[in-house]
Amino acid sequence: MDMLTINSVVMILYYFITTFFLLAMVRNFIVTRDVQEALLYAVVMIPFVLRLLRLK
Amino acid sequence: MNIRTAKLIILLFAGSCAAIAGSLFKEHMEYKEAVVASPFLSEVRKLSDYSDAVKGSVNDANVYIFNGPTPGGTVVLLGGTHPEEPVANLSAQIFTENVHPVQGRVIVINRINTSASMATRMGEAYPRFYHISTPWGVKKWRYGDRLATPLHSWPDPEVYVHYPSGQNLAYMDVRNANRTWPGRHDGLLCERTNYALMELIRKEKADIVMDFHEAELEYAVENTIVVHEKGQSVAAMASMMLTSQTFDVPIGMEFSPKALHGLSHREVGDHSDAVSYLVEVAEPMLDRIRGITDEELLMSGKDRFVMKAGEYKLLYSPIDESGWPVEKRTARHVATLMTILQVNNMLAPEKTIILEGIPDYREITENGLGAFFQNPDEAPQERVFYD
Amino acid sequence: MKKKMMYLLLLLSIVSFPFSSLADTPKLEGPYLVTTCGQSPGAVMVRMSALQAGVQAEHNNTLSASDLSGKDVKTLIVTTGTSMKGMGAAGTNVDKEIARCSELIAAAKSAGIVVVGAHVEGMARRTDSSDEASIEAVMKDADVLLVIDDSDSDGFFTEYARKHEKPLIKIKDALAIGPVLK
Ligand SMILES: [Zn+2]
Repeated sequence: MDMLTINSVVMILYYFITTFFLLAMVRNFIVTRDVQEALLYAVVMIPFVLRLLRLK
Repeated sequence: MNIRTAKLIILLFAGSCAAIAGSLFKEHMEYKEAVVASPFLSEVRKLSDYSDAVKGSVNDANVYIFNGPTPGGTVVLLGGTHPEEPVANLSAQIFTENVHPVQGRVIVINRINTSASMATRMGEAYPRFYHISTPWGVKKWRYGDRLATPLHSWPDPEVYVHYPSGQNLAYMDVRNANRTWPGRHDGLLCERTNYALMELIRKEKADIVMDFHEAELEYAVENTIVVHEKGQSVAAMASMMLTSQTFDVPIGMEFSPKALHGLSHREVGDHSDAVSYLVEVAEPMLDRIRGITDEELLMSGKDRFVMKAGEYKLLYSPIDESGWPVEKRTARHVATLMTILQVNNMLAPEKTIILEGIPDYREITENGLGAFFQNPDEAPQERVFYD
Repeated sequence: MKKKMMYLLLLLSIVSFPFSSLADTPKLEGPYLVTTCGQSPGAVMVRMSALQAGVQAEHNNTLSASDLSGKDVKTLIVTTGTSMKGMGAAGTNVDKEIARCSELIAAAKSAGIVVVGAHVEGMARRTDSSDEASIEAVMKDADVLLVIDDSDSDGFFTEYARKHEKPLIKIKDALAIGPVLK
């Protein structure tokens, strides 16, 4: 298998990891009762969303 | 206010931040730069015509070919190796839009690492675009990063082992189009790009390859021509002539180190018959010590913090209130290439390359760059291309 | 009285001017041999500038004392100021460079060859301690100093030549090297 294929597979795995952490943050955002924490989760989610949309 | 309302407001706020940022990034990524090739254009090929290594990738660049009526030498100009160095692609495009080869051939690629021009460096607050006013309106280019974006080449290896030397380089340099020469057919994006470029250089039997760059004033290799040993006589003569007759700030010369791999000045000369040159000019925007990072700094090259560093003798290039304007930087690169050709014509007359239509140092510094870019809306459409 | 003094001064300045300039700019004579102490491109520049002026100057970046034997050479030019890239390319360092050049200069002098210590690449080759070391090592043994205006922009070489009573040839830039070798 050539290097590019291996790299692409690893890259796809990275997108799964990104999705996993994004979902974890969404869950935390939903369950938290603290406004400050909710704000923090929301802001941290931004780069994860942008990466999944392949914008940055 | 209950927690659900607060969360809704937060979500709206974060969502609109993401939407605004996302649309700005998307606009940057999708913007195409118009290029009006000179009337002496022979043909435009794709880099993938030389090797399938880049087929279907973002780095499958336009290759502008200009054949003179009389045979002679062939020069290949590489722009946009590091898209955070705008003068590199601007200098190349000055040739693409104005060149009239009288003898020999010119092959230009305005952007060899398009991927790196589609996003700016993370965490640096770089502007996305830069603009130059022309007699017919404002022309716009993408500003970019030094490295190909991780969207196109990811992940990086733990340690980047350069092919074929086996030298260990920093991991992110596998996305640096000036660390992946001579490249490999089945490597990562930049390795493939440089492999295809090597194929172009070999198949077109290039005699001279010029790689345009800019560097921070804090960096020791500044305002200089770095040359493969094959070109030392030409580069020495060109640097002396330019320093003596044309430039206010001298241009030096450096030998390409034999043991430092992946760079164009080393590998292109080693892996082809071409003589490879790389030229550097001062770009204060790249200095770590700079102040406000905006388009104004990028274009004017004026920065009082960098000037202060100069007062403390921390820089390898002079700088004063007049800064390092983009016109002067571009004029130096264009004049350097023209002088190298002139000297090369004397030392290797069988490889003569005579170019007309290219503005000289004075014309660029006095008239600005805008005068040398044509209006894509009025130009014949068969000469308009997008990079 | 005052007038007489003035005339005397004027006369003195007219008479002394050619003398002083003679002492300051000795005539250099070929055949020339050029090398670098620090692997910077200065030596290539000397060769190319000479070539443009129609003078042959043999150039060898790794010239050693043994290379002098059997060579018809009148003047040895050693350029100073170092290049990290250049020394890296040649697999050497500033200490090795100084050792090679000191030996070479000693051999040249005992063979009656005029040694010129040159600095022709401007302030860009006067930035660090390696540059300083190569300049000091070559200039102290040189018979004549040859520098360009930019290299002496802070007056370092003028002062050095005065202090060590060595003749100094100062020229506008590297392209002006050729004409002084004619
Ligand atoms: Zn660069």
